[in-house]
Amino acid sequence: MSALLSLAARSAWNRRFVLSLTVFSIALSTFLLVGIEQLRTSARASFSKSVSGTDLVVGARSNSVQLLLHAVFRIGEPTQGMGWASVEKLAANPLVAWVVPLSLGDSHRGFPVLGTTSGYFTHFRYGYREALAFSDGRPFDRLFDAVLGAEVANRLGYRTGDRITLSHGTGGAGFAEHGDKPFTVSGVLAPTGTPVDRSVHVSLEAIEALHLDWQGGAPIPGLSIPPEFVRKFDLQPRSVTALLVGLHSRASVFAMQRQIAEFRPEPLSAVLPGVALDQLWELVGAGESALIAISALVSVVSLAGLVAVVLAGLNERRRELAILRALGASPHHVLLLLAMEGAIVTLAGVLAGLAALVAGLAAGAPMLRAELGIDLPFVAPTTSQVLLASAILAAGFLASLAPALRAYRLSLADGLTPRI
Amino acid sequence: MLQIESLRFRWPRTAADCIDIDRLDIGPGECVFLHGPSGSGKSTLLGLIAGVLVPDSGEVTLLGERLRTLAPAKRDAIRAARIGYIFQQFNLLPYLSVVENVLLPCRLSAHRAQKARSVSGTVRADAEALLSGMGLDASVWNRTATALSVGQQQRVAAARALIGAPELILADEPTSALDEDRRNAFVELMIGLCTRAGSALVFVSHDLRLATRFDRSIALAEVNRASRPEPDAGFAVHTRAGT
Ligand SMILES: Nc1ncnc2c1ncn2[C@@H]1O[C@H](COP(=O)(O)OP(=O)(O)OP(=O)(O)O)[C@@H](O)[C@H]1O
Ligand SMILES: [Mg+2]
Repeated sequence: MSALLSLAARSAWNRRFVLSLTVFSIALSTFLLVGIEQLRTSARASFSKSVSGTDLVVGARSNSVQLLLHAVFRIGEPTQGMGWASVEKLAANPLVAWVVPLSLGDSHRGFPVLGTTSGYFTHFRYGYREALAFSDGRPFDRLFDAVLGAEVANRLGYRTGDRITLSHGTGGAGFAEHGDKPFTVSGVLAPTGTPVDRSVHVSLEAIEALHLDWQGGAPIPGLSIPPEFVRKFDLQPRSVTALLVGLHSRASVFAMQRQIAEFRPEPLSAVLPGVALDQLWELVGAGESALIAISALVSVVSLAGLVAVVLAGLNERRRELAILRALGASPHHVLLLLAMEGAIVTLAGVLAGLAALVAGLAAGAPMLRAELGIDLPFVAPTTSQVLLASAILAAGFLASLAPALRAYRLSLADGLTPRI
Repeated sequence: MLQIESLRFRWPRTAADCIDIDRLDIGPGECVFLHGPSGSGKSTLLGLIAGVLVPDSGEVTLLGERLRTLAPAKRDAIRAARIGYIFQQFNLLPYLSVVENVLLPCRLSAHRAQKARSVSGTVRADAEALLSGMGLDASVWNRTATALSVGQQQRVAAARALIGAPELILADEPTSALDEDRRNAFVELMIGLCTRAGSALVFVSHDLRLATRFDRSIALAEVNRASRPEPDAGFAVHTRAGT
């Protein structure tokens, strides 16, 4: 058996140039299948852990997925704001324990700026109800203070005390700058692996102050209010993007949701983060299935290639099989030899694919985190990934039984005189 | 050592028997020269003796084992342990070195490995001794098999057949690709090494000049009733029409 295995390996190595193409295509299909699975689970895990401990996310009436994506993940177009009066009304509701308003729209070098209250640092939870922690400094205190997410500070090399300026809009650099009103970094948050890491946090009043001399997305010509004077204005915001709501009791979440849906002064939506995430997965599920179906097809094609390559080479190997028969190998050994060759080739392909995936993940993780906010944790493979890899292996072994059976019949028919 | 009795064999999907031998015995250590015209069934007979082909009726008895009634796995095990086989050409696995090719029987049969060790201490030493005995010096031992000339390859094949001193060596026209000098030298070496190892040898060839060197010479056409020449009507008609 072990003699046969080593013969199979040596024989395969001898034909490595033909077989390496097959190995490559199997590696590619492994890379695709397992990689897509990795992206899928990582995306879900990273989205799911981004918000916890918040019972409802409230915003102007809109699609719940859209509201959640924008408020929590800073993805998509800003929804219409909700009035400050509504915020105060909801905060006063007896079912409500706390509210944290969120105001989005500005950015700093591509990172979103989040206007909020200091309650954000005490009430916001992520992962398994973990609170935000400061790795340096403290929450914003003065008007033009900013608290940076871990990645913002890390990527841009900021520390507490540095001065930064914000840009109007979310389009990144080259946009209108709020250059006249610089901010001071008052603190840096510890890493969370959530969109918080990529946010610049300032107070709602600061957002308001930035836009005192702005109208319709552009500075009002001829009007410039220097930072030292803004305190003289009323800095209470007129509207915010969304509101995170925590309740005294989780049990009242549906009652509260109904109340908000029937809210008189303006049409509002309240979404349960978990429910909205489920809806999101339903939405992307179809696309995922298509991707998985395509990579499964790639696997089938590559295994068909394996069968074709081994079958095509079989005629040239009838001599080799006759030699083995003369040495005492049985037709079963011949069958096993060919099947093991298929298994070795498949195994090599799967291992190469996994190695490429690990390398790809290591190389691509920073980019994915920066562009999509998806964390690709470098952890042990999931059960479904192990299953996928084993499924490819098993399919490769089964597929190579086809040429193996043909070799079995050939060596029975040939005896010791192969007809070539 | 080898007894053949009322042996009949027909290839699948053919009209007539290929082998029909009443009786043929070969004694221990006997060197037999087997000849006959092309298509007379020489290779087929060797396949039957080796237990790769199974007779339709009759018996091949090797060292007291009646091959036809054995389980296929047992037949294969007997072949691995008791028989060394040499083909006309292309005997060696191209992906193994010369020595590894010679060692193959020891990897497939513990019995052969055991015997080789009892001769030279280790199987590798035995392989090297046999290669030297066949006139192949150390410079070629670790080359890949395909880097050798045809004559050298045939000598490697002989060393492989002889390792672990199997009771019977079957050689199917092993010299037909060699020139005359090499042919004679090869036959000398084969017979010498077989005699030393105590192995019987069945040597198939067209070349009747070699027959004198063997203990006995058998014309297959005389013992095989199936290969008695029969008039080939189709061929005759065709030639007559052509001339
Ligand atoms: N695998 C096979 N399937 C069907 N018929 C076969 C097979 N091998 C040999 N035969 C037939 O059996 C007969 C004997 O063939 P065999 O190869 O034994 O002859 P041979 O004496 O060895 O000839 P040569 O000297 O050319 O090697 C031939 O008619 C051949 O066509
Ligand atoms: Mg022949």
